[in-house]
Amino acid sequence: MTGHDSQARRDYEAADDAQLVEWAKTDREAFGALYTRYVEKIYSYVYYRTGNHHDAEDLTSRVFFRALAHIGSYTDRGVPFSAWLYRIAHNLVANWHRDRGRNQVVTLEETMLSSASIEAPELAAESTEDRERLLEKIRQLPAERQQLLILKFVERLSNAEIGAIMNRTEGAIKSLYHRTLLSLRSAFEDGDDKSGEGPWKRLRL
Amino acid sequence: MLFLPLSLLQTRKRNPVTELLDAHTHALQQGGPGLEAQLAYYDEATVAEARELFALAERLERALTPVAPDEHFVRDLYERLRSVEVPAPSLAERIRRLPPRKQWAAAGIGGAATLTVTAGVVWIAWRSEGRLLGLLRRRFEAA
Repeated sequence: MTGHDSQARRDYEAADDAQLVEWAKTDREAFGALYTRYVEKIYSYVYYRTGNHHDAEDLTSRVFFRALAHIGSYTDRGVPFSAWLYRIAHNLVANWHRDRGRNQVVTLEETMLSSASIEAPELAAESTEDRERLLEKIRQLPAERQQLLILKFVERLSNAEIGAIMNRTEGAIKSLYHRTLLSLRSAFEDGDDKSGEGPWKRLRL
Repeated sequence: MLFLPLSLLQTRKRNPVTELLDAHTHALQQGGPGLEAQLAYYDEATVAEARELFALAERLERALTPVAPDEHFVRDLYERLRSVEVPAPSLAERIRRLPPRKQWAAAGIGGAATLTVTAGVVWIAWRSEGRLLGLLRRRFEAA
């Protein structure tokens, strides 16, 4: 039996990540299956960290090229493949921010327009202005807190999965989430104080 | 009589808002029941803080939605990943990719080979030196 024969019999869609990773070390089709499985998640993650489609596409490409170059050395140490991909994405985004400088203006307007088409209907209740303010405050948070919010709300990962990506325990993720929301609340209170609006008016308590 | 979930009982020893917030967000995402009944077990300050953070979590849930990439970009990147040549790994990289046990075996074989070569060079040098000295001694004596 040749390698091509065995590859032809592989069921890429049914295979789990660990199996696909083993195949992907010598089989580009298997890597393609992993790509198909994760490209939208990685793109979403990178998009919220960069704020524009152009850089999100560029960084998503780099994530998968880097993954392809290193898939041969990937060893399963109990960390899921998805966590490995998110770590690559996180490192590349960190480099991107470092190269651009911290004071780069992020195009939030583009964020609003581009994601409007896929928003859930209930989002209509959340005005564009409110959402813009919220995303602006999120982007002012430290990188790890932004990462946590994106993984929890956009990617909808569990605390255990987020912990695997961020190399923390579930308890630490819960605490970080609490602290992150306290920071966001403080950021809104500070902003409202400066703008003269009452604190928490926009949260519809 | 209401029973608290075990996770919430455990958290009373720690910061209860941390666990309440986590449980609320989980329920929010899974479409589970709210935590109003559980809030009755906590003091006013805890409930007030929890409610503020619950509202913020609900806002995040509405605002942070997945963003789909352009289909053309997805297809194009797929094709590029299929066709790109990945350079063959170097010897050092191939050794790094070995499982730890095999890496130790490779290190042992490498170390033994190095010792053998070194010993061989020393032995040859020692013999050559002996011959050279003997030759020089004979010439010196003949002179």
